[in-house]
This record gives sequence, C-alpha cells and structure tokens, in this order.
Amino acid sequence: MSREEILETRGLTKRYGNLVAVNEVDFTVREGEIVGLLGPNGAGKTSLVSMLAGILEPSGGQAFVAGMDIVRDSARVKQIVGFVPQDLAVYPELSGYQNLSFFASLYGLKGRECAERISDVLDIVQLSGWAGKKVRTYSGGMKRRLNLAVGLLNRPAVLLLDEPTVGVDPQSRNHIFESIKNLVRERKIAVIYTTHYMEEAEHLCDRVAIYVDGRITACDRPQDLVAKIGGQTITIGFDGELTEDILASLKGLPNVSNAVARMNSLELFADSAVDIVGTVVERVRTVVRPTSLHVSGASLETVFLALTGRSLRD
Amino acid sequence: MAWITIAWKDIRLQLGDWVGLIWLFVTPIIVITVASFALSGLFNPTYQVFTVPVVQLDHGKVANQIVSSLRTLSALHIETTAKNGAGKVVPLTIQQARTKVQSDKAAIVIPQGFSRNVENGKQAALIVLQDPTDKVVPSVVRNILSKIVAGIQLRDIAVRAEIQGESNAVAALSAQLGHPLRFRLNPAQVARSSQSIIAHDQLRIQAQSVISDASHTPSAFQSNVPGYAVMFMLFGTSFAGASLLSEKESGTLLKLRSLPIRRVDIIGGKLSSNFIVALLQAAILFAVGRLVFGMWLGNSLAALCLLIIVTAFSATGLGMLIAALSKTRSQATGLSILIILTSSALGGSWWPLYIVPHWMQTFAHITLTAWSMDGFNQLLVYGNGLSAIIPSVTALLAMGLLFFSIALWRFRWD
Repeated sequence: MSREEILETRGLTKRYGNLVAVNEVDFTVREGEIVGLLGPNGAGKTSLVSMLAGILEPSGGQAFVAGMDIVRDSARVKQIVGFVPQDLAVYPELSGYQNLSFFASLYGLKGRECAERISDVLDIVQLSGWAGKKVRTYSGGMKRRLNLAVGLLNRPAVLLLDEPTVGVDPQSRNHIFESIKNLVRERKIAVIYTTHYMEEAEHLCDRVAIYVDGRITACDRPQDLVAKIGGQTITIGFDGELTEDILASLKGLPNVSNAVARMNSLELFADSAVDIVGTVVERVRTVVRPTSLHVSGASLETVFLALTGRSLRD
Repeated sequence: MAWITIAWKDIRLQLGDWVGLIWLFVTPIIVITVASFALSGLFNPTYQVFTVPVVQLDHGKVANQIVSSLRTLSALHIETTAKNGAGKVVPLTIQQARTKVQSDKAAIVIPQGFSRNVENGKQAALIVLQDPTDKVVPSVVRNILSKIVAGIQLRDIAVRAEIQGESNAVAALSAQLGHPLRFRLNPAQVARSSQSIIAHDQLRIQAQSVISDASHTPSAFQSNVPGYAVMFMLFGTSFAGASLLSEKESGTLLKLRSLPIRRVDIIGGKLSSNFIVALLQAAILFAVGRLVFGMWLGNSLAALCLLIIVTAFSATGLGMLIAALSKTRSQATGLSILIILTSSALGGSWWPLYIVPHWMQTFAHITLTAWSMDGFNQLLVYGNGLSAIIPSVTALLAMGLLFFSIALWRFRWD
C-alpha cells in the first residue's frame, strides 16, 4: 500500500448463511479523497462499511486502515476511523453537548482536550448555538449534523458515512456536504460515502464505486465513468403495459446496451439514439400508445444501468 | 360504514401483535391460575389439614396418650420425625421444630419428664411453639391440645373416682370380715392427687413465640415492603434491561460498537446502571417503610443490605436475560410483565407463602422472588441474623450468575 492509500481491502467478504452481502471486494481509498459507494438499497453497502468500522467481522478477505488489519488491530483501527451510521445514533433526551461529551469520554478524551474537541466538531457542523438543547427538539437535519459530529470526535483519518443524508432537507444536506468537503480539504481525511442518490455521488465524490450485489462493478471518477460508457438514453412515456417480448426485442437492437421498463416509461441505452429511435417507437407502438419521447446524453445513472442492468430505484 | 372499517383494521392489527396478545390473554390466565392455586385453601369447602410438628422429648404414658390423641384427629398431620443430614429418619428436635414453625405456623413440644410430673401430681406444661405472624393455626393447635388435655384429666378423674369407690368398698368389706384386706393403692393419696390436678391447674399449655426478638411484633409492612420492593425492582430492572434493545433498535448500540471499547464494557455499563437503580429503589422503599410507617428493619442491618444487594443482582440478571431472549423492546416488555406478575403471585410478593399449598411453596422456589422473600421473612419477621439468610443469598447469587451467563450467550448483537 502506497503512503497515500489510507485504506485497502483485499477480497473482503461477508456472508449471512447462504447470502453473500459483500463478495470479495477489492478497493483502495487515498488520503484526502471521497469515494462514493453507489448502489441500490440492499446491495450490501452497510455490511461493507460496518466491517470497515469494526462492527462486523469479515467472513473472508482482509482490510487495512493505515496499514493496520481491521480484525487483528481492531481497537487501534477504531481510534482512527470515524463511523456515521445510517440511523441517528444519538440520545434524544440528552443535549447535543451531553451526547458529544458521552461519546468523547468513550474515546478516552478528558478535561480541556474533550471540551476543545466538542467545540471543534460543533463548529464544523454549525450546531454550537444548539449544543445545550435536548436533541429531541432538533430538526431532522440538525440531528443528522449532530450524528456527523459524533463521528468526527476522534479526528478520524478515515470517515465512513453510511447514507448520512437520508430524510434530510436540502439546506441541511448542503451543510453536511460543505462540512465534509472542508474536512477533506483542510484535514486530508479519507471519506467513504455510501449512497443511493446519484446526484450526491456526482456532486461530492472524487471517485464513485458502482456497487451491486456485494460487488464493485466499476470504480472511477464520475466523469471518467460516464465517458467510458458514453452513448445516449431514449426515454419513452406510454399508456398501458409493455410486454416482455417487446422489451427483449428492443434489447436485441444493434448498439443497445440495455433497456429497462418501468411503469408507463421505458429507458433504452444506446451508443447513438438517432440510428434506432424510429425503430424503437414503432415497436413500442405495436403494444402501447407512446405519450412522450426524450433523448439525453450519458449520466451516472446511465452508467449504473449500463453496468448493472438495473436502475438504482429497483 | 367508516367506524366498522376502522374497528376491523384495529382488531386485525391487535391480532397480529403476539406481544399484545400475550399481555391481553396469556398473562391474565397464568396469573389467575397461579393466584387461584395459591389461595385454594381459603375457598376450599373441605377443611384444611394442618401439619403440626411434635417434638416428643418424653415417652411416658401421658405423653404417648397425647400424641395418640393428636394422631386420631383427621384435621392434623402430626410429624414427630425428620430426616437428618445423612438422610436418616430421626425424632424431631426443638431446633427443627422452630424452623418448621415458619411454614407450619405452630408446633408442640412435650418436655422431658412430662408424664412423670403429671403422674406425681407436679406441675407439667405442654409447649406450643407459635409464629405470631399467623393467628389461626397456633390458636387451632392450642384449642385442640386443651381439649385433649381436658379429656385426659377427665379420664384420670373418672379412673381415680372409680378406684376411690373400689377402695371404699374394700375398706367396708375388711370391716365386715374383721381382718384387713390388701389394696395396692392408697385411697387417701389417690384422692389428694385427683383434687390437686383439678384445683391447681397442674397440667398447663404454654405458648411460646419463635420470634427471637419478642419486642417487635411483625406488622403488615414487614411482609408488604419487601414483597412489593422485589416486584418493582423486577419491573425496574426488566425495563432497564430492555433499554439495551432500544439502543439496538435506535442504532446507538451499533455506534457504540464502532468505538474502541469492548462488548463487555457495553454490557457491564448497562448492568451497573440497572443494578444501581435497583439498589436505590430498594433503599428508598425500605427507608419509607422505616421512616413513614415505623417498620422494623430486623436485628442485622448488614444482613438486610446483603439481601437487598443479591436480590438487586439477581433481578438485574433476569432483566438482562429477558432482553437477550427478546428481539424487540416491545417483546421484552410483554415477556417482563408475564414473568414478573407470575413470579410475584407464585413467589410470595402479594401474600405470605405459608398460606399456599405445600407443593406450591416448594414449586415457588423456581422464582427469585420466593428466595428473596424467605430471606426478608427471616430478617424482618423472625428477627434472625446473617446465618439464616445464607440459603437465600446463595440461591439468589446462583440465579443471578445463571441469568447473566445465558444473557451474554444469547444476546444478539446484530
């Protein structure tokens, strides 16, 4: 592992009985880098970050943080890894400050150092003015920010964020994004950010790992992923129900990489829409009545569809 | 109609919630069953058979006559023997009888030389060992004994009168024959002896309390304060134990596991807080009992504290066990209520165990409540010290350790 690489996994695997939630995952994260794990719900993202956080024991493979094995050196790894779980891991009946003080004590922080650290993380998430109030009085977005603050108490070298913006209003989401970007810029921490929101991955992450069925299908900068896949998307709206036969025949057209039917809409990915759009509309019209037609360029969503054969919303 | 739709939806939801169903139907059925068995003696139309331990230190004629008379009464089950440490059946001792009085409520002691004293016209007393916490059984035993004694006295008087009559007849016959006839009994002595029994109440029944400190008469508080303290300690620790499940459900447990601390610290922290709260709860309840109601705290405050500590320990263990066996907090709540209400009814939190059938008194000791109440009764009712609560302390410690071990083994962290 090079000096820049702070985290590395080698064949990391997690099984629950016959279910393989994480399937021999290999990837690295560098200092000062935000890597997004982009995948639908149930893809195994939480299992992967839970292993890296030392909560779950791997069924196979290895992972290293700053050169330390996450299993053998679990206690030391936990000292330099910050974990922000998907659920709000704060106590509503305590104040924000009391919550932070509790978790800081468990990191072994005491006295002035503890107070300074709490003040620091409150500044980062912009909750200093609310520190003395009970968490149950916070808005959903403020609770999320406090959740993030708890994950920063140990000044982590690696920050694991498991869908940290679920149910958050746009303003708080922007607060969280800004906080993360500042941390990465100023403290060079590495961030793993799991999400099923395409826009978040595109907006925030230096690299995006397409993660489906416990596997990383591709991992690169968002613009590089889009450039690699290229092509265009044809979206047709219609009344009625598309048959499997038609869908199969559309997938068999030349230059079509994939086709996904949803309720009252069809998305078809092709190298060039112009060459096939007429044929597509004709075939669709044999079973349903088209109501709209839209052709767009490639995006992370088309990349995801092209690589996995399914939509993030599936 | 809308109200029917809403009612039907609620019934469907309720029927699908098995925790709610346990709380609604199973818990009351079990508590009613236990309570009914426990109090069956009070409502049984046939009379209740009392077990009366009899320490027979005298085997003379009168003593044997009394024991035989007692045995003829179908309302009493007379126990004159007990098994010793080696399992051998031996005559009951006074010490054993004193212990038995705590459950049987009364025992009879026939002292050494009793028959000889009676026969020689000296003072003689039968001792009834009695538990002052019960007014019924000792009084029944004293009455029965009085009747038997009165019967013996009457028979004795009749026999002596008959002998007196015979003696007079012999004397008259001697006078007629003109020479003395030999008669074994001295008529004058027989007459004196019979008159002495009647006149001086020579044969007495003496009641003796088994409570070592007679200056403290047990009140309802001695039984109710510990009884309800144990029950509410169980409620407190069970609900606190279930808070571990709340942490699991809310996600804070997951967060705690990501910190550089051991699992044993997480469980240990939870246990300690539950244990301390249970101790505090018991301390407050006993303090209120003492300060507000003037409840006597026994002869050994150290023993009382020890018993409270081991009860809190065991209750904390049970709370953790319930949490470990439940998947959700709601399940834990349903299970807690079922276990606590059942063990309170069975173990003697609501009424003294001695009023329940013997088989149930034995069965009750599967609950920590019964062991704890045994100990509290020893200290607060009988005024005994540390040595008397050793069985309770041992059982409660063992139960607590067992509960903790199973809880640690069965708790699902993920």
